[in-house]
Amino acid sequence: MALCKIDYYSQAMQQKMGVCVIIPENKWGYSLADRPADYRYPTLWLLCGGGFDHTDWLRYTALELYAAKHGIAVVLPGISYCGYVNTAEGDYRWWDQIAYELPEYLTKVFPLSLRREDNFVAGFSMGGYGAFKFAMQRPEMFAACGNFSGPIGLIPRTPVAPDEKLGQPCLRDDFCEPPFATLWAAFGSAATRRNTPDDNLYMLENHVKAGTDLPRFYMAIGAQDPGAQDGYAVMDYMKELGVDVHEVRDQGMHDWVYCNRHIAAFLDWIPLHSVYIMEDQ
Amino acid sequence: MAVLELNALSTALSGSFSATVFFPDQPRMETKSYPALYFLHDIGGNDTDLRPLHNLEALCNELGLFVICPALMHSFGMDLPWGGKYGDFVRRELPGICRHLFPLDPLHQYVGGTGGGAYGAYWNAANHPEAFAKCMVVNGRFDAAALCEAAARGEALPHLTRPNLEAVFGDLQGVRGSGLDILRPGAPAPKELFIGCEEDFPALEDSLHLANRCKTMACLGGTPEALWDAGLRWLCDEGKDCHEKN
Repeated sequence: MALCKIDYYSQAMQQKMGVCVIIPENKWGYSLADRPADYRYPTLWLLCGGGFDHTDWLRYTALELYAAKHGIAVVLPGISYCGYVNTAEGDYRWWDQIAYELPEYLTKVFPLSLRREDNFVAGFSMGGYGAFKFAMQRPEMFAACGNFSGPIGLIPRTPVAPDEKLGQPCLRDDFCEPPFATLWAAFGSAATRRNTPDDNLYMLENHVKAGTDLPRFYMAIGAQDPGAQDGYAVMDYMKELGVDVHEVRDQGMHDWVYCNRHIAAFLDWIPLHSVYIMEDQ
Repeated sequence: MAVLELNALSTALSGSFSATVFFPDQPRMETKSYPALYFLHDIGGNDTDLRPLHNLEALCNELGLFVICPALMHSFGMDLPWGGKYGDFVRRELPGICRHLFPLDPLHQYVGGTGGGAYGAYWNAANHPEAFAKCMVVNGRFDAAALCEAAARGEALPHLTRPNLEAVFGDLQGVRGSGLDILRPGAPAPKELFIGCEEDFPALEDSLHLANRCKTMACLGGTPEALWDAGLRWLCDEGKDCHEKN
């Protein structure tokens, strides 16, 4: 596969950042030099979970193989533990970098399609929250959105105290310690994020009211995932709102095994148009 | 300041290859085609050799240029009779792959190299003038005949064994005066050539010889960074401060 590991200076982050781009090659013994000129690839913008970076999807799944099978380019940003927001503390503009700067830059560097029907967004865990948010903030950009085990409804829909912290709820006594301090620093107080563009369900409700042409949604969460019940409640709510959602309630943990299974299934599910698949030539 | 590590498949090399690509940063990228320099590393190096060159990313950014450095093993960027067709890869396939991946202008396609890579860049540019519009070499080792004859005598060579050289040049005693000897009288030359060489570089004389023979922009002395600065500006038609010959 053509794999590009990029280091570039991000204007949004004011520092060097890493991002990976897969350009699919479909068969050993072929060369991208033989591809048609001016071909632009359908593209999946694939977000990693909290604590991961731009290399993890590549290291923990068979993503390159799936990309080759479907002839789709994949863009892989990193996020650390920063919640796909411009952070409340420290002024780290992760969201500006991922949702605006990277599409602007990478579509000029690489032959990535600009057409909505060729663009998809997905993510695992915190990346699922980010992918859904990407689809809510830029619905005109994507044909479909995939969420694998992501806390879509992370921002509380009911009023909260101004000093209440936000992030993954404490599920065990030992589960909210140091990593979530970074997450909380990213989000700040729950109250300041409610009813803002960071609030996915608020955005979804507004889009439904406005009749926005939304992407199709692929929502998967395993029964053994600690966030399963919250995830299933979001799926129910989306259906109640009349959103086009393909829901998967299966067996699985909150882990890369689950990710690997569902990134493959998501790529099987998305509608791809005019894909250049080398094996068929 | 942007740099990427590229891994992709090659038919000329019958497998995967690595390349390091330097290119303009986000504010400098526009919807247009960019010139590209394919730069061949020295013997014993690989595609990462240019990373320590501290002004390269800034120059690519300023000049709006892609610099693409592929890993070429011990090939000098030449076809191997039994293995990778590195010459074909450098001249045809790699530019084709990169033009597919990146917005590159085929009319502003250049080749360059350093050390043994400078030999390969010069040979490919001189013998296949349709492939590259300009050639830029820095601290080149051009005397393949002397190198091969030293190996034939059993002398130890840095980063090279005799079979390494035989894979590229065949009969080591037959290089002098052949089509592989770019220093021979009447040998073809690149259409346009920049030669940069530090004054204390051991093979300086070969650079001077080629500079006197070719239509050349020559820069002698200075640091590698200064030579690169002058060379890339020359490629992009901004070089005015070197000694122009002929």
